[in-house]
Amino acid sequence: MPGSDSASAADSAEPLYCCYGCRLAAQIAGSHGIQGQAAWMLARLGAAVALTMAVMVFSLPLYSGDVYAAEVTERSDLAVHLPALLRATSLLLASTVFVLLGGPILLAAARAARRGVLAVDALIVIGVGATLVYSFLAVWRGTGHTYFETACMILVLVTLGRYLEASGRSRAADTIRALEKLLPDEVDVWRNERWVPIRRDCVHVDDVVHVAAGGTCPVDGRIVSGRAQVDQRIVTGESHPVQRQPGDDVFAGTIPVDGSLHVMVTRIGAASMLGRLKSVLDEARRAKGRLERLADRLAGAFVPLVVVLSLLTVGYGMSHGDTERAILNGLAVLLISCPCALGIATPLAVWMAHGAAAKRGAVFVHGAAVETLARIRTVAFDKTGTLTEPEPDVVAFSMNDADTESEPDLVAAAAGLAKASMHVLCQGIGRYAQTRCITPAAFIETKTVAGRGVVGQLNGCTYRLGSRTFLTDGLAGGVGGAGAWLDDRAPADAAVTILARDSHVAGLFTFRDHLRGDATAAIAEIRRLACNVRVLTGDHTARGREIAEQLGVDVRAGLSPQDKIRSLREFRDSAGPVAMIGDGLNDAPALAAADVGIAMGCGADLTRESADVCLLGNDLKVVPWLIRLSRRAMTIVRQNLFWAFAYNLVGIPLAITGRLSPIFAALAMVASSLLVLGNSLRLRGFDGVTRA
Amino acid sequence: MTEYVAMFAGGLLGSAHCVGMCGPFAAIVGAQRRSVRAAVSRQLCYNLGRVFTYVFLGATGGHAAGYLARVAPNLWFAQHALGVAAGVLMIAIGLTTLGFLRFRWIWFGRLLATAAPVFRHFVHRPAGPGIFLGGVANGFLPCGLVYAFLALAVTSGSALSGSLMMACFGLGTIPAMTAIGCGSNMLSPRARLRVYRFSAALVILAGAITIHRAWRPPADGCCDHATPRLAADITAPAEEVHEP
Repeated sequence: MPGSDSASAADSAEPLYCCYGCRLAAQIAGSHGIQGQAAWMLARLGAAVALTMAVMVFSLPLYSGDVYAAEVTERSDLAVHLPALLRATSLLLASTVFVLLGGPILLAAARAARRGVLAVDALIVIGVGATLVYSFLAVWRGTGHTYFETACMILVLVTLGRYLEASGRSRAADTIRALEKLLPDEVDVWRNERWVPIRRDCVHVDDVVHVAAGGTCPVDGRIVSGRAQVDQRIVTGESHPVQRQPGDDVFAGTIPVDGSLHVMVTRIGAASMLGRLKSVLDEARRAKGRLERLADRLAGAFVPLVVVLSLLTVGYGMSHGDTERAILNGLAVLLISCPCALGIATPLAVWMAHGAAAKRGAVFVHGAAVETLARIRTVAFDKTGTLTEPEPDVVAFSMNDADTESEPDLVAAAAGLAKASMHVLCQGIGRYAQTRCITPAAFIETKTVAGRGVVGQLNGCTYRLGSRTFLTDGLAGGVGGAGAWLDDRAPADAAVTILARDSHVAGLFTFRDHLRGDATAAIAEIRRLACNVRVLTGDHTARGREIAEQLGVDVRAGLSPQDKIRSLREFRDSAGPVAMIGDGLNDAPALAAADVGIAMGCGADLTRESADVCLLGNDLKVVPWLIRLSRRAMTIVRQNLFWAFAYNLVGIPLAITGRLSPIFAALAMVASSLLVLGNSLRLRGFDGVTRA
Repeated sequence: MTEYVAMFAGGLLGSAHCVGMCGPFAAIVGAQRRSVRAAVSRQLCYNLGRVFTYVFLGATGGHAAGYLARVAPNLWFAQHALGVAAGVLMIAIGLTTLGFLRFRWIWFGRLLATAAPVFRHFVHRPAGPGIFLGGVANGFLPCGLVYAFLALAVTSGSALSGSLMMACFGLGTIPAMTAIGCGSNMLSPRARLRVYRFSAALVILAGAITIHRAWRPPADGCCDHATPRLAADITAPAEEVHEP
């Protein structure tokens, strides 16, 4: 029955199952692979299939008439007793099938009934039981029809259908388990002065584990020794390895490419990256979109309706004196109207989309975002850190004419000081020196004032590198006479860093951020999806104009956070739903105000509250891919829902009027479930090349 | 009676095909053997499961054909067509075994790859029922040889004779499969190749005979069981016609 969260049910201590299928789903999800209860169920199903085959082998000769034909022509003992023997054997085998498959369904229904939940499956089993009793009486009296193979086929098909749905659900939900499977089961841990292999789930926080070059890091932790290029694809979706050294954090699933690492475990279990990813995805799965809520409501009204229809069918048939046909028709109504197909039509496709996105480093934090993203008409980008690299480059170094030292020496001094700081502007100076082949000067002692600047001694001189306020405060006479020069040289719309030697200003670094390599391609891609592209930035108008020229998009510059929100509203009013893409830090209000907020570069920080979707990496091309994926998922949802409705609309009248034998009704139910399941599973291999 | 003997012989001769296609499954079953006795009993469980599926297919096919003959007697030519199809299939299989015909079996390999885990799930148990179920599942894998003989069994138009015919066919395939499953190498590679080719030639011959008989059923003889049976069915009392 519809609308259950198998995953959430599996997690909570007192699981709630709305139907037999959900219980199965929890069993499959709860046990790893084919083990435990699910395996037991599969074994029962296998045995029941074999027994049903035997029932058919024994009862079909009764129907083909060849046994009776033989009876008429030659009255041998065998020919007389053969039909009775076949029937008795069929009865025995069919009863076994009833116990094997009907038992678990009835038990589950009894549990559900205690909570006041009506289970359609239980009604089916009761109906099947009635046909069996009827057939038993026929065997006892030696006259009348038997329905052994009908009963067995229905039980097998119902169980098979529920099993397929359940395994589909758990398959859609197990993306994270697929990631976990990539982690090694055994970990080398430093215990008692040597490396000891232990199981991964026995590792504690503060253990030190060994990760060989090319091996997969099994835990979240901090590097204590060793340095290597680390492939973080599994976490960020980015294929370029990054340099990691002692003190840096590494995540489970990343691979040191060219060196081995010793990693101290910092987080395990639910606190680890994968654990949090899992809980975020579980949370997202619980949030339901518009279509899903609609399907749930319909299914909720659908179940009682079907039960009433079925009972009416039975009542009508019995009042006309044909009890056995009445029961069969009632059964057919219950079997054909499979509310589970309605219940899984939407969530399966949406969950598959969540899984496919997670594999590419995009996490849907809010489940309904898939639905909204599919309807997006305008995509707005924040500029800084989104369209542009977060680290600005030095575009120019201007020397104060009053200084006597040569320019390369000053750059060398600045680069030497910059090495002491991790500030993005300092790193920009380091890169600038590197491109000019200038070796940074070796400072013996430096002092960093966080967020403002660095001071150091070299050859008896005091060098200062930092912001204007840092220098005004630090120098004895302030910036003094250089103030006018600085006002003149420093552009109003760009970041600058000032270098001072002893007490006077020596030079000025001007910075400019530059576009990401993939920005142009990503924006072209989004345009091809018939979405408007806008850039919203707090930067100065001149820089905005420049970006507009480079990308050929509409840029609104000089916006305050309130202005950004106002612009988003404007876009929404004129074109439709808006997606906002930013880093999720300084533009959080805008992300929250958009219909879908997409935060970039979240890395381990998955829960940026304002974002609906978190991109673990910085790959802009994921954005158009996500829109395609969402549109595709919604197409599949619509197909699924259409099928579920059309199927019921045609099937139920046929069943009520007795034109559908229960066996074919059960077959149609399984086929319908398979169709919905297979249609949704198509999203697994979504590559974005297929037209959305 | 002749048709049962013919089916058994067909299974026996065709088992070169079985060994080629389903040999891996028999090998999986045989991989866990501890003693010869255990190995043989495991193989028998597995093969009986397989044969059971054939019996089931024969019963349903025969029943369906009988039912069709009753409700649509105009389809009398269908059984001839089935007989011809069965013969053509047999010849194709024989030619493939001999290397004259080449089919792409890639899809079969893929099918085996997907079926193997399920199969293993049943087979990795010491007791008999699991292996029997593995055999049952194995029996459902699409197989040209089975379909050829199933087509013949279906032309009987009766669930009882259909299932008995398929039982005979299945029993015929058991010796070779059991031998392979037990890891037997009684024959030298060269002798094996010769047996293989000989049996393929016989399958082709059987196919030719099948086509001939289907094309022009002898007016009076051993093999025209189908027609009278169907005729009898048509005249069977109406209240016995019951469809589940």
